[in-house]
Amino acid sequence: MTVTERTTIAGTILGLVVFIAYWVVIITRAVTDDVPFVDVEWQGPMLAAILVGGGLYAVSYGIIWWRARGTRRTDERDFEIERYAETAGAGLAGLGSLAALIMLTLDVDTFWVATTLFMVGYLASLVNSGVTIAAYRQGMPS
Amino acid sequence: MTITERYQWAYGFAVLLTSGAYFVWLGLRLAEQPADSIEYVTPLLWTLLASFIVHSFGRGFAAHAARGDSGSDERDRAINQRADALSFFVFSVLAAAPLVLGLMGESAFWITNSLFLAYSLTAVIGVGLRAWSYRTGALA
Repeated sequence: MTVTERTTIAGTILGLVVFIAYWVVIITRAVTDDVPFVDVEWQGPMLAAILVGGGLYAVSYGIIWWRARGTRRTDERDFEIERYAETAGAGLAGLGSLAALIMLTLDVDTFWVATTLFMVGYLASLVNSGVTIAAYRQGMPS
Repeated sequence: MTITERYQWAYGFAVLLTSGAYFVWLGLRLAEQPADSIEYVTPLLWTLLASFIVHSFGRGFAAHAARGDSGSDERDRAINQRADALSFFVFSVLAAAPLVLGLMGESAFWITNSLFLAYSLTAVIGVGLRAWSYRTGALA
């Protein structure tokens, strides 16, 4: 397993854990305080999810990179897979962002707009990771 | 010039014309009145619709002008893929601004317009990257 494949898998697992943790916090707050989602204090958990998720990914990336010292970390296949998968999820992010823009003009609560941006950002990265891992496991279509 | 390249110019022209007009109008309004009192929603929706219509006409003209030219080829696909990837990266960075504004509890005016600006800038940068690549072969 190459360094790029390891970092992609690590990022996917971390992203999933952080994403689930964010929603556990939001749902728990909504249930325990008996308030609708739009009245939950979501800003702190979302900011924490972005910063902690990004920080943990950077640390795991550094560890995997460091453990592979002395070996060739990337090769031509990594480069080809990166090229192949790099636009996967971009369409989803674009459509989701357009949806967020329409929601803002319709005066939808900021919670739902931010949640839409957060969700499509996460899902786009998940699609990208899924395509990358599938390309490593099953090869790229010719 | 392939049809794909002509389509890109049509897209860039539509975005520059419509979004440019909107942001000039918004700048003039901001110079005269507070942001939260500006009725921006209807002009913004008209801008989106106008952009779609101008882009559609532009594609029609491009297709007409490209009669007899070569269709899309492998180079077009390579340039498109790289430019899409770089544009996605640019948009991800620019879209952080409305997200941060939302986290800070700013008004919908600033969140909406920063998101629309991110969209417009990404489109212009994407077309610019393609034009640059077609001229220099940098991304192919």
